[in-house]
Amino acid sequence: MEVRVSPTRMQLLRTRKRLAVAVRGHKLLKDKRDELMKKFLALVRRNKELREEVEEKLGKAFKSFLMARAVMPPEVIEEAIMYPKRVLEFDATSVNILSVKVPKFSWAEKGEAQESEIYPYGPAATASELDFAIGSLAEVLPKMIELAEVEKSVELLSAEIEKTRRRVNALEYVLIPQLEETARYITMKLDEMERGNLTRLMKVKEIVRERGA
Amino acid sequence: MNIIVIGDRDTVTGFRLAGVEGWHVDTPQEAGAALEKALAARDTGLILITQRWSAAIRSEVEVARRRIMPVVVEIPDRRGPMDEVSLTRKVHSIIGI
Repeated sequence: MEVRVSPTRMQLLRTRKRLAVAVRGHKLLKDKRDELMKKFLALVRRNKELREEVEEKLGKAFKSFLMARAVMPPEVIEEAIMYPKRVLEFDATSVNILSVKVPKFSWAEKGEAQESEIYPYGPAATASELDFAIGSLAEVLPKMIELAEVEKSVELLSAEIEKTRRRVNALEYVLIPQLEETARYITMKLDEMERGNLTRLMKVKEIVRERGA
Repeated sequence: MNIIVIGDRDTVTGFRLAGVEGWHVDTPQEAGAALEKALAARDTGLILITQRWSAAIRSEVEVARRRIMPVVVEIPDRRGPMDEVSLTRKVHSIIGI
């Protein structure tokens, strides 16, 4: 790469200083990248677990729901679930993972929270499949909220990893070699000038001696 | 903050029972409109959309996913899960396989 600096001692010092900063930044960013990667992989694993669990449980819930549909007339179902009893309070904040802001959800149920109270209808007129469906849906909801949290975190972290990796590579393969090259060029040039100066001095001395003699 | 479900009638009914508000949609246009409405609402924190509908309005969902709030999550509907390739692919490209 072409080096465009004036080969002076001042410039050499400046280049060396920049190089030191770049090397230090590179090391720090590399550490950050590795740490991000570690967190990222843990989250990905958790995400997979959660997704599988949610998918399985949702499947079960919908199956029960379908059964309930089959054994009960639609009007009865509509009537039974007209007024849901559970109301969910939901709140979102954010937490910091290595300067990446990821969402954090908290939730709570409003109203009667007793186990037997989640069904908005009497047991007499409805099929038990409906109970199962509602029960498992209620069970899967917290998991789903956590899944949302983890999935979003994975997404945000992946963007940050990408960015960090690009920076690390730019430092490692472009900036640092360039600075080293510059430093080398300046030293060579300075040495060259030094040698040139030395021969010139010797020559001058010789001439002076000849005249004196 | 609210959670909003977008999906077919069964899914939405099911989630209503679990205490989550939702809109059921029957066409991709309706799904798109519902998503827009959910995004526009100030206090939406989480949007759950069934995979079948999110596949139908893929580009809108992708745009929505880029925002920090609200979080959009795809869930399976009653016909079972569809392959969730996007995340797996992303993970692979990050790790470098």
